[in-house]
Amino acid sequence: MNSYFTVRLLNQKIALRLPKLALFIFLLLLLAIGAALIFSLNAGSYDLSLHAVINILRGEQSDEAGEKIVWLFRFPRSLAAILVGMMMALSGAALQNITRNSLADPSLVGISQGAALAVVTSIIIFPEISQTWRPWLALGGSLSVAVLIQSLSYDGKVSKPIKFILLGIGVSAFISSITTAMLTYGNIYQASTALGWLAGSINGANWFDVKILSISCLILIPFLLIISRSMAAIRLGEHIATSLGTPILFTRYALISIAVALAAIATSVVGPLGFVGLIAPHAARRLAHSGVAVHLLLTALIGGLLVLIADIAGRALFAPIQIPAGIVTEIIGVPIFVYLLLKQRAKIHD
Amino acid sequence: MKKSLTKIAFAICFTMAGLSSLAQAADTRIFTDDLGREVKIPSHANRIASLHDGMLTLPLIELGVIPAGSAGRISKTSPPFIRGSKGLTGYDFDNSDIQFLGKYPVDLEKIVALKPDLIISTTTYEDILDKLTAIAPTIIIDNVKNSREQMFATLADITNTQKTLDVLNIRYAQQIKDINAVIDTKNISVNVMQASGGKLYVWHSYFSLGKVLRDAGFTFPKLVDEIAVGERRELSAEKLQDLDADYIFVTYRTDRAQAPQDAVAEFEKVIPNFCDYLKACRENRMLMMPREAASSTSFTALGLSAFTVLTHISGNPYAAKITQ
Repeated sequence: MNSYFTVRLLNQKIALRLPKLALFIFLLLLLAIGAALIFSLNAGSYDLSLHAVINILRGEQSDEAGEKIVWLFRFPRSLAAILVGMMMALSGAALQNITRNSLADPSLVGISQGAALAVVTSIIIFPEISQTWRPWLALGGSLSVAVLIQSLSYDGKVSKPIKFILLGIGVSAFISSITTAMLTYGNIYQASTALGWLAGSINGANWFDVKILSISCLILIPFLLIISRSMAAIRLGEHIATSLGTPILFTRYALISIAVALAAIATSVVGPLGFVGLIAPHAARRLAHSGVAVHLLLTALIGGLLVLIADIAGRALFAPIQIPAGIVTEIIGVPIFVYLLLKQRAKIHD
Repeated sequence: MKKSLTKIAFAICFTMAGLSSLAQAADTRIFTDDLGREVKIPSHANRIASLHDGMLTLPLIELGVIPAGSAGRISKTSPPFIRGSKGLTGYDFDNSDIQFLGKYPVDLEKIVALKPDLIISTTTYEDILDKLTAIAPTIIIDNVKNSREQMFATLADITNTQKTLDVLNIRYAQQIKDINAVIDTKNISVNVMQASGGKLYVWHSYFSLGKVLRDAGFTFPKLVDEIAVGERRELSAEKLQDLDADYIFVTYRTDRAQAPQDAVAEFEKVIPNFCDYLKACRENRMLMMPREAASSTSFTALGLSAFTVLTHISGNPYAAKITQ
């Protein structure tokens, strides 16, 4: 039985061969996100029936408190969770591709650490800075550190993946130590505020954040898909990719730029979210074998689903105690990661 | 006749409406918070949501205002609690109508359900101010910039409880006078230390206890005086002897079911046989206090600290000897 769909568009100018299993899983993930979104709108410490939520969404008469809960809190934070998860996951996938290292994730290039340093500095050293600047500071910190690592790893002609990884680890560790020093010696109340942000919470996400995240996704994800063919060639190694006519340097810089932008924007909104960028690409690979573009789509959906579930669990399971999504993604993510690795090892032994 | 009656009825209605809107205007006032925002708040808020237990809820209760809801703490061994409150005010979540709103970060949905007419927060929640203001008028108080006296004064201003605060201040001033009446504080050195995770911490003024000691006029080791006001410093065990004083205060956390032995064990982690390096400890002048009584933003905590100082130092043969 043929296990691929073939799609031909624009008089065969675009021809796609899409694996059926991957498409099936893609649809399943879409359904899972839809179901989780509905559950998310209905879950929380304020008691609202599904019927009431539907009425509120349809603009029909409801209590004022219920409207606030759905429109101001649950809906924007659920959408932000999905978008942030997608962005972190895709950032991880792009970095794993470019470094050809399956353990690469946004923290490798100092994105989380750069954001953390900027935000912690603003909270502890410059408390007079309004915290409404926090997302912009995080974005600035992420980009600065990512550019620093990239420029240090560039030796005039090429940027070697191993040098990039080692510099990333080194610079990130250096930046983390400065952040840790500030948390240790800073005012205890300011330090606890900073720790709250570092835990990665979607608590504060609003419609403006959703707008920023949506626009970023709409611009950056298509770019990533466009260069997915070059990504596939790079997977085979630089020499083969060059012989296939892949513009290596352009692809590398484009990928790093997109990966940094995706993670930096996501981090600026919710703080550092660990493990999503590492796990989602792995999970997508284990669920279905596919080309790079479809793999990216699956990765994005898994990332979105993971963070949405983490947010629901964090705010509803032990309400009114709110567990930041960053902690929950790690609690959920680590066992999944270990399971996937064990499953892979079992397959190898079989 | 019928027309005149209608006119009178309309006049009464307009007057009533006018009076009602006047009353409504009088029921609110403008308050400028620490972010410089002018916030229209109820003159007499009835349902306050307090987003910090120790810095806001505790002072509010002491001012006679019981919030409708408060942030709190959790522990493995007890239900949610307002840190230090049961021992200092008698109030807690399990014996009052105060609703638990979560620890950091608070549960916004729980605050909506509370239907507060005023939210009071520290700067910790500045980043979600848009959401808080959508629920109710929100005042941000800067707990880092403001001293604890200023925090109390601001809360008294917000809740119209200045008279209660005046009485509490008079009581505290008397407690300091009582210490000065029997102890020559200028000739006695004191220090408050804390050991945690193998590290040694000292403060310029250790919260309530530190305020009492400073206000009473005790002297501190030079190293402690060099710390900026409101700051703490982490020091190595090598500095232990420089932190020695005539009397040393050490605190232990009752909210974590700790005992004085736990505080001593923490000092042993900093340096084994630490007592050998401190004259105050060797000569039995190291005093243990529950941390909630020594550190809370509370007049009761100030009173307990003052009483501890008064009863442990006054009449002590050592204190008499060094002040002769």
